[in-house]
Amino acid sequence: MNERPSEAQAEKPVVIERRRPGRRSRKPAAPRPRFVTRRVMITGLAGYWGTRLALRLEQDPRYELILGVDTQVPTAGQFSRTEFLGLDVKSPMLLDVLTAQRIDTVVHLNIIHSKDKERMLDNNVLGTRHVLAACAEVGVKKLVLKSSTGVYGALPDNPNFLPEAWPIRGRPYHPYFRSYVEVEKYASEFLGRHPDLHLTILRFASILGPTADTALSRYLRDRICPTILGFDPLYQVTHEDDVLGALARAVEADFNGPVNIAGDGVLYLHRIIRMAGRTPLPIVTGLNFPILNTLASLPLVPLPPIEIDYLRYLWVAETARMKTQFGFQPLHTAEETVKDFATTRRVQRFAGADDSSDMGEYASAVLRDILEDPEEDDLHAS
Amino acid sequence: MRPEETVLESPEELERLDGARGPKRSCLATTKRGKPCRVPPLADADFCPVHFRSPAPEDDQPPEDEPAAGRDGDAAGPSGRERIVSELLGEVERLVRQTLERLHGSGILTGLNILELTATLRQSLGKLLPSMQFDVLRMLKDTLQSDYLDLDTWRGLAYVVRSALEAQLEQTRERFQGKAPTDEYGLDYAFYEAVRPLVTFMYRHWFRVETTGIENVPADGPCLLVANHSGVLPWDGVMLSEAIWEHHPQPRHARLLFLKWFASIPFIAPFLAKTGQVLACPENGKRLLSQGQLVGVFPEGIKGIGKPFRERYRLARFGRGGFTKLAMQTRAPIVPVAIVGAEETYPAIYKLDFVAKLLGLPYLPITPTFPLFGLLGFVPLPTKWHIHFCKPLRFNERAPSKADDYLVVSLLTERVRNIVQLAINELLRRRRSVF
Repeated sequence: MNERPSEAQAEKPVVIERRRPGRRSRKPAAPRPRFVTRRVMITGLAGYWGTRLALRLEQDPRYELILGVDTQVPTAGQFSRTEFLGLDVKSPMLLDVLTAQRIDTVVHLNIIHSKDKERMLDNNVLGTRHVLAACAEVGVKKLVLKSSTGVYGALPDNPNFLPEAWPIRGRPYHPYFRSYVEVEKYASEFLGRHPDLHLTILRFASILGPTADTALSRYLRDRICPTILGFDPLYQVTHEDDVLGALARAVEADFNGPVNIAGDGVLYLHRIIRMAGRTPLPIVTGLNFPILNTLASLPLVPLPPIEIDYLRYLWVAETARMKTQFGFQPLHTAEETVKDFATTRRVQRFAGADDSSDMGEYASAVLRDILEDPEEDDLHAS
Repeated sequence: MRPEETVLESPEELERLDGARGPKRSCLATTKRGKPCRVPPLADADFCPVHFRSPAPEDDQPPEDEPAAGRDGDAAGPSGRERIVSELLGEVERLVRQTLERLHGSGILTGLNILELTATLRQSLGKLLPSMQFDVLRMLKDTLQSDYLDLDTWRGLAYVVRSALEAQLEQTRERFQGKAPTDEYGLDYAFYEAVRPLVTFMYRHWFRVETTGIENVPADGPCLLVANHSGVLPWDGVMLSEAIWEHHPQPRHARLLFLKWFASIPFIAPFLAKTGQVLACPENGKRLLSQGQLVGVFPEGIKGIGKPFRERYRLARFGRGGFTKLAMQTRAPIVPVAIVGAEETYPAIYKLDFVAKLLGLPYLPITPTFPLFGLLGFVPLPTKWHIHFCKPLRFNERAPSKADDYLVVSLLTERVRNIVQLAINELLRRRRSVF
């Protein structure tokens, strides 16, 4: 394990000083030493991805500090060594925390989905801007942003596989996706200004999995899924475990710039719906009529959680960079992911969602006292 | 059945034929409307082909009586025919009895009474014309003697039908459960196989496409087909890929690059994707060619497909040479393709540019059948087509470095355009008729 040259410096008592970003890496070190992250901050710890990423990073002893920041308090007792700090990412205190805790890696997952449009944009866009600026200011080495391939926009003239260099043309009206687009636009500008900071932007294709609550899973929640009459776009799907794998890989690797993350294979939307055991309901929408589009954007009818253009046109991303430069291979193909999702949903329908086998430490210990070691059940072996 | 009054040949020809044969004769029969038939009779007969009925072998009655005999049949007196019919009937009865006994043994058809069956048979036969009785009995006898009534034959047939049905059902069920496999560009193999019969029909019988120079398409490796675009609907693309499937010794799926506009058209967009076509853009073209696929482009684009009828077979501008650049970058050989016949499938009389702009369409042609006959206007005219694959243009190793040289690209584009135009001219010169 290579030690960073700055490690000795970092060991000294903390002095809050203004450091010019990028000062250290200007030294022309011939082979750049492998960047081993030690102290990680996860914003949005209480969120689904924040919690799961923290739990995953806890397993790795290389991360000596995992600090979670969120305004919401995560469920108590689930972390073994992750520390939590109740702090808004937009708070000026963030700078102090970053320097005091000598954070070198920030995973920004504090992108929220809320009914309050203003709050969502405020938190997602301005919060991200603040985090990026703060990280550049205090000389954080690595920043990981979670984004979506939806930022490319679903447009009829998209190539079959959108490369990372493709311009960000998405103009979604849904504030949640709009915040991604705005964040991305700011991030690309930021990337130009701070070439020494490793900013990894992970653009995930539609995420699906047994537990994650995503746009696609919300779309597939009802028995009948609205589709657009006469259109059947190809979809890429990422498994929720692969999302975590990619996040962990981004924390570990030095990668600069955006990278598309998606499971192998593409599926037609109707096929996804069929595989999930749902029924597609094709709906007529205005083809090129602005009036109809405006009407559709009014909250008169319940809209699908995925925007109409994304149900109509192609927005499949090229994953060559993920496999070669980023060095990540998803464990689940698109087909497996949808099957996994469908199976879980089917089981939930029969068994109920809350049949957790976890009964707590004390009760388990009581039972362990009287039971012999259980053999591995054949069912779970596979 | 043929109509009663049929003029077989043109009147002048009939006149000439009759003059050679002597006085003008006509058929002796009367038509259903009660008028005498005016059609000239066959040689050595008194009836025209409509009223002529070949006499039964044992028939000793003159043919004149036949049409007048009506549906009652001539049950008057035992004649030679009667005897034969009753003999045949006896034989059929025996065969029926035999068959039924055989079937009895196998445990099916238990409720059937042999006597009842033969009685019904006899009764029904009585309602037929004597000559028809004979035919029916002979047919029955053949049937009974053949292995149609063998139980194993039916079992085998049922098995075949059932398995075919099951396969079909399984495929449909799989489609509804979302199991149809696709490749990364969305080519749905099962869907493609399902629509191919229509394409093959259009290729073989509707347009009767004649394809030459298929050997110029390489069997593997990247290749760029550059063809002229015409007709209002892109049937030429469909026929181009079908030509390779039909005639190439090692058929490959031609990936045709379609216009951006089609990606925004309902039904058309998923149809194109499911048949393996991709959107025309440099990214897609480069990716496909570097994967070693067969790519087809129509560089004229909208300008070619939406041109008015009077400009037919005059090639429009070949875009900005994007395809040439692609081929140079990937060193994929260019095969120019000339397609003749597609221009006349929908002769566009007038272009409603204003309405098209309002509707967001690239063009809105008025053809003799569209929009006058609505959906029927989408049926192309059955013109005779000819597709010619020209000799390929291959690139040496210096080509990729010259791909950004505008002069080289434009010169090459112009050359390809000339090859296609010359080939079209040659095909037009050879063409005898549009249909």
